[in-house]
Amino acid sequence: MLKRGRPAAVRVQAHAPTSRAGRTYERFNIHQRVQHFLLAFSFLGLVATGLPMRFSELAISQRFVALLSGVTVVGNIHRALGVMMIAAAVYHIGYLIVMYRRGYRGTPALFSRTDWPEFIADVKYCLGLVRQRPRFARYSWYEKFDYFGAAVGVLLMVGTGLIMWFPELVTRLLPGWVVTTAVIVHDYEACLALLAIFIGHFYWVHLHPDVYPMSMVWLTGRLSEEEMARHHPRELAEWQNRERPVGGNDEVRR
Amino acid sequence: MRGHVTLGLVFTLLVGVASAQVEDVAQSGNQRFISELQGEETCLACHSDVYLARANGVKDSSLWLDETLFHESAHADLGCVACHPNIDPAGHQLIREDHPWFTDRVPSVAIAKQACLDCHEKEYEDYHESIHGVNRLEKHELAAAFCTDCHGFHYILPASDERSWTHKSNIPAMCLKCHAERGLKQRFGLTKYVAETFQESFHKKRAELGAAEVPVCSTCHGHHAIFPRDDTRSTVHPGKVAVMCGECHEGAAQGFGEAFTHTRVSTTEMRWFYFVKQAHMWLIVVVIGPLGAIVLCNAGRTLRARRKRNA
Repeated sequence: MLKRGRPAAVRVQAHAPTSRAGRTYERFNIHQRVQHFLLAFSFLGLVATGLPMRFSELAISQRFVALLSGVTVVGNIHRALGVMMIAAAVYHIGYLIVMYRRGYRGTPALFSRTDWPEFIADVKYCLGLVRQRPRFARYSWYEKFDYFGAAVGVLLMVGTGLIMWFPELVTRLLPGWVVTTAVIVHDYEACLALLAIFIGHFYWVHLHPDVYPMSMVWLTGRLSEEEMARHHPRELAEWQNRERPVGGNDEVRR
Repeated sequence: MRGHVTLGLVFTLLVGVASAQVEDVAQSGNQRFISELQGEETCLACHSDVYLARANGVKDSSLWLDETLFHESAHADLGCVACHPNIDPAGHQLIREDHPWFTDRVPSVAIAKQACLDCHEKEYEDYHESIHGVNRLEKHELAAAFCTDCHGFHYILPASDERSWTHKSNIPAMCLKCHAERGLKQRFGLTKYVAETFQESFHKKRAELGAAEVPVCSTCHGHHAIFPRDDTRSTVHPGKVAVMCGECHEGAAQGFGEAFTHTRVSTTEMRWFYFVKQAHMWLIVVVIGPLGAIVLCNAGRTLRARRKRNA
């Protein structure tokens, strides 16, 4: 999951020799990596505890729940992980606010006008109509889609999950159909998130031939020059432009 | 003339004495027969023998009972006559058509009136008022649930016994014998998706996942005094359902009861929710379908590009 990031503060290995092979670019800072870890950990845990409760009629679910000493325990784990997911969201939103106050107006991971042509170009590449993948900047259409999906998904799952957690309270304030709808949305939204992550996200960060078995960026927060050139050539070019003595577009205004 | 009168008197006397004697013999025979039956072994000598029951032309198994199971049942100590008081020797060999059990249009009703009512008066009264009781006892609807339909007859076990039909774990299956039956649902206008909505409910999920304290049909709807939802005496009447839910769900208001009903999201019921469901399903198809296609194509292209690079 990608976060709206601080523009990569390039760790320029001071007075590095002409060879730039060992040079890395920061993609996610420590805050963003912690946020991602909280989100990923809670997501996988929520999937693991949510699925057996959703498909309670299956023998494997029943065995799994028995292993964790009962549905009450599994339910409590599920809710605790939900709280962890809320914490990740609060952390992220707080982080954005602090960054904004500090004057950061960096490359947003939100959809922009350039994404549609890039998406079309990428589809053409996939279909074999063009030879080159589009030259992506810091965030490709898919990474923006991931971020968008995570934002909307967390919002919906947390909202409906809380309604399901406190139905007595909710139905005191709101009509009963709110709970009925929440149950449906929680069910289908979970299915959508699960498929999007396991098919889409896991392809780009695990199964993609270039990164298999795993891209290390979620741990190190850094991309090598080669990775930058392959997946984010336009961002790399921007950095190289910026490092020229004259000119360069300084995005960080402090 | 006098002789004729005398003869007539004598004859009348004789006939009277004779008929009285016949009645006497019959009555004492009945009593003797019944007193002999006080130990159920007498009955079971024949009725536990499946071959004998068959040989006597008994087509269904109702005249045969499993001795072991009967002795394990809650009523084993009562013997046979407590519930079958009207056995008479003359009618025993041959099923008499004027026998009270068979003159009543619903024979089991007669059994219950004689058998269950004696000891279970409170339950019988509750049942009698209920929707099941009114239909069965007053409207003579054979399809309406009766004592024996839920409890069985010869092998009745206490509800605490896991093998009992009325044990908590068996109650849903027992109720659904009728309430999942399409013909009955149509005929009596029963709630359509009782089985499906219960299967999808959180209560059922908890039961499946091994939770100890889970409600079943009777927890909310009651046992003997069951009424339709729009009857004010019903425990799930819209005005009262919050009280019922509140027994487990502290602070449940009326809206809580409205959120969890046997109304199923479908094209005919709760259509708005059906739309929400359909929209979500299409969202999944529209998002995940192309995503999967792009992933597969991208994998193919990347692999081919690598092979070319390496070659």
